[in-house]
Amino acid sequence: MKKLILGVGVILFLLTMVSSAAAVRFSIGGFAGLNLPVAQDDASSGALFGAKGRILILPFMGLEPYFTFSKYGGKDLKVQEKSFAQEGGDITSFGADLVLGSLSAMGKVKIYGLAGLNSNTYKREKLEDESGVGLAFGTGFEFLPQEMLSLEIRAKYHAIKVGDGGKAHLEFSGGLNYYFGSE
Amino acid sequence: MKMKRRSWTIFAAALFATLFLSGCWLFGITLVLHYDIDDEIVSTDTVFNSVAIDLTEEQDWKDNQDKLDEIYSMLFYGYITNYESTPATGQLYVYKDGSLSTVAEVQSKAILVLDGLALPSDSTLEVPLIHMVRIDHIRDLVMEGKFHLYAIATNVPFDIRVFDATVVVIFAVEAIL
Repeated sequence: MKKLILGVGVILFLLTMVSSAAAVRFSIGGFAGLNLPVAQDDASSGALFGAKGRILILPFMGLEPYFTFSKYGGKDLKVQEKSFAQEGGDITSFGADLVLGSLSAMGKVKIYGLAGLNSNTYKREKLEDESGVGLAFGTGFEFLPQEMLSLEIRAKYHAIKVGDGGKAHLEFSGGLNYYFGSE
Repeated sequence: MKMKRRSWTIFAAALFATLFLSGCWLFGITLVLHYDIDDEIVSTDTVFNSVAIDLTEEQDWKDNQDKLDEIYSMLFYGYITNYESTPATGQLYVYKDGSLSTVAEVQSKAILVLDGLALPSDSTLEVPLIHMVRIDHIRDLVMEGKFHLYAIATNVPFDIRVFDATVVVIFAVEAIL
């Protein structure tokens, strides 16, 4: 896990340096949305929010480092006709997605696909924290009413390795990005 | 345009390779199983019994036994009566079978999964649905689906009874794609 974190950190640092040196276009932004668990009987939907950057490596390819805090909603477990509320848990994730699409194309609407690796910590009350690698892929739309500002919506499938099992959820989010540099 | 198309192909191939190499946790399912314990545990500091828990009797378990990935959590609900005139502190243990016959054996060989259950004198405590601890120590046993539950108290003498109990198991299975 430490190697993964270190690796992601080094790559991001190098890309930042390269993009700065080459005056490549990049953005920073924030997002918020909904986290929907996929086939998890012990959790319900919750909120998510986070921050991300995007560095355009090539006209059709970008790298997005990000940090996300998401929450699983709780679930009531019924035992012997009695209902007991169970906490869903919190997930903190950071990682990077490779974004492919019409990123620097002219026009006000851009469509892209994304996939990436991330590191996650899953926290639940009264249970030990679990850390695990994760994988995400999805798609998004970006609208640019101005050259430097964009509005974005995206859907992402995010699976996390917890022990030898996996927990997956769909992330639906919307956010704002501010761009630096020119195309 | 050719470069763009080739990049997409490489990217898609790398993604699918990663998915396959990573294993089925990418599409894991989390299930919750309720196991009602019909028998009672009657336990004193000299004589006691355990109850057998056989998850393999349950349909959800049968359907997924060969696809089990992980035990995320186990919870306990039930009633414990303390027949002594002094308060007691109850404990629950898990062991592979019902062969343990002394309190010392239970404390040394079985895995303590619930501790600190405050049992007032001459009364019955309803234990709300609570998470068992040290799941990593009993994971393999639970994955097999059969184990025994013991109940004792830390003070001597003790005389307790566990009844109307339910064990809830939260586990992960591979999805069928």
